[in-house]
Amino acid sequence: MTEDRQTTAASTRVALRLLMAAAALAAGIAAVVIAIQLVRTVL
Amino acid sequence: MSLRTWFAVLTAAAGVALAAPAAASAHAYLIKTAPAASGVLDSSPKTAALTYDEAVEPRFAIISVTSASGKQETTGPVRRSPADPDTLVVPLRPNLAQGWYLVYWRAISVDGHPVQGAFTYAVGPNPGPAPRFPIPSIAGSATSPQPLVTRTVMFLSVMISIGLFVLRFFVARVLARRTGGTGLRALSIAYVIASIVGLLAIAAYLDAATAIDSLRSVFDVGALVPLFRVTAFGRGYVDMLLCFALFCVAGWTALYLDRPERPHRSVAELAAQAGAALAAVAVLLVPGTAGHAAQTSPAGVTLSADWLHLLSGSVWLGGLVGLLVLWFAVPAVRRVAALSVVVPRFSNVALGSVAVLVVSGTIETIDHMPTLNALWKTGYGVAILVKVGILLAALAVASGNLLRTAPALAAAGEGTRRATSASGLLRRLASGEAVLIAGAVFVAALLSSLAPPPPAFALQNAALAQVGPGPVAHTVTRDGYRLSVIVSPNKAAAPDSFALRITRNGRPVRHAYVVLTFNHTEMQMPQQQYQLTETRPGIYAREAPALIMVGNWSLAFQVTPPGGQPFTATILDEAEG
Repeated sequence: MTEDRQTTAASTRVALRLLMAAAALAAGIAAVVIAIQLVRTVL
Repeated sequence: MSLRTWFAVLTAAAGVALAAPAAASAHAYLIKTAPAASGVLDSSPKTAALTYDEAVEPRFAIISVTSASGKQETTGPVRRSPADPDTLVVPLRPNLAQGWYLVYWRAISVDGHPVQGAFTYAVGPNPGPAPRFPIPSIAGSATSPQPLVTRTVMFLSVMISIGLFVLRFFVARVLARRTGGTGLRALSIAYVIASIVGLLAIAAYLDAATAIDSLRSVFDVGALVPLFRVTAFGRGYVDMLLCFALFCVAGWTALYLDRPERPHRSVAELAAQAGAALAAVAVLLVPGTAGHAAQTSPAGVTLSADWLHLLSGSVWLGGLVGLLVLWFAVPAVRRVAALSVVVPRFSNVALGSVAVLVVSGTIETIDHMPTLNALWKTGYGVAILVKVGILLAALAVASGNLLRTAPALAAAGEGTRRATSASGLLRRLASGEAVLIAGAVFVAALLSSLAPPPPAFALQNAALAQVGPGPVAHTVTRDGYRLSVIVSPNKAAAPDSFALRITRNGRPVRHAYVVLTFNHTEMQMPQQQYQLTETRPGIYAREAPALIMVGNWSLAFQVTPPGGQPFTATILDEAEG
């Protein structure tokens, strides 16, 4: 049981880390999209 | 190529920022007025209407109409004409008394620069002689201290935070495995502080610039926020704030997820760091789109050069600040060990950054300078020279780090005493270098508030004579012809008379074809051409409201004498208000 709980906790941690990383990557992509739209208005 | 050779090449290249053609900034200018400038009306007008070459924002515009005694004659705010988006209209008191009136205007160009001008008109039928009106001074400009200081702080904090991010994640990250985490933690804290300051500084700059443009207090935030996105300039910096906020979110997440003690990055670490790096790239694209780079042709080249210039400057400046943070944060016993890991790695990155900085800066200078002498004859050019001078001094200091401290620290294992003394030298040199680069950033902030000289500036070099202000009667010779130029009254925004008397061997030259071309040499304006007609033997004249703004105008007389070779005589004329 203890081993199961530990495995679940570790999986949750990994999932959370991946979720946060995905959010950071999405933030970066959003910033690039905003900048590209701005560049397109002046080119 | 050795480091010494690299440095010599870069130093030489830094001095080369010369010549070549290009375009310049686009500022709003007045193309039509109602009442007409210097005109005499039979009856009192109901409104004053000013038409510009672009749709300037009425909320940022001033149109003041005053009588000879200084009494304000407007009765309401400036509005956009429903019939023409490029026209601003202000209502006037009914039944204005006979006499002369001064119209003073100020508007904000699309690129955020305030422009201003003035003209007079009269209500007749007997207005009397025109009085000498005092023209109001600039109520606030982009070079006022407040926006200049906030712009400098904004550029410094944004560049330092991006440079610290690069140093923390891509240069100094190995510290955790080699010398423990003390130095890396200090870098993380410095990065978080710099990015918080950056967020606040962008917001403060947006507030200060909008306050200046709309002539409001910086503390009148409730009225200023709705105006943030009114101009292209404001929209650019709101987007920069948004991009920088996204950079902070991604960068802080990357910090939280980072496990630098492990030899390889996990997928989560890679994704978060890539997100922050993408956001940093986006942040540095924005200033170019909201400034001169976007207004200078070819925009693709100048925008890329501007972006590379900011990116390389950020890596250099932020990296130096990071080295100083490391120096002070790491205990003395472990300092040499930590610096011996980071400094040689950073030296390579800094060398590449300086190379990109020099090349991109040279491209931008060539793009903005219509001629070589614009470098010392215009405020914009002088500011570039000052910036190049400061960067050369920074390069000289950097050479000390590159050629002495970095090799000494890299060889720390061989002689501890040598490395300790190099560490002390590094602190002094890196501090000096960082201060010099901060000075260059201040000059860059000043540069972005000045207008680059237009391509027509090059016409100044072809001028046979410089005349004005005031009425002009000047004689020059060209190709054996004697040319007498008369401009009267030589006032801006007024119908001036232009005449050219052509003689050869003392005899008037008759039946010539004469075209007079006008170019403002300090501002980007459309060229105007008028054909002069022969009013008396050898005298060619025309009355035209050609001198739209005060300043220096190139008057190019293109003369085709009957049966002779055509020639051009250019005069530089200063028109006053």
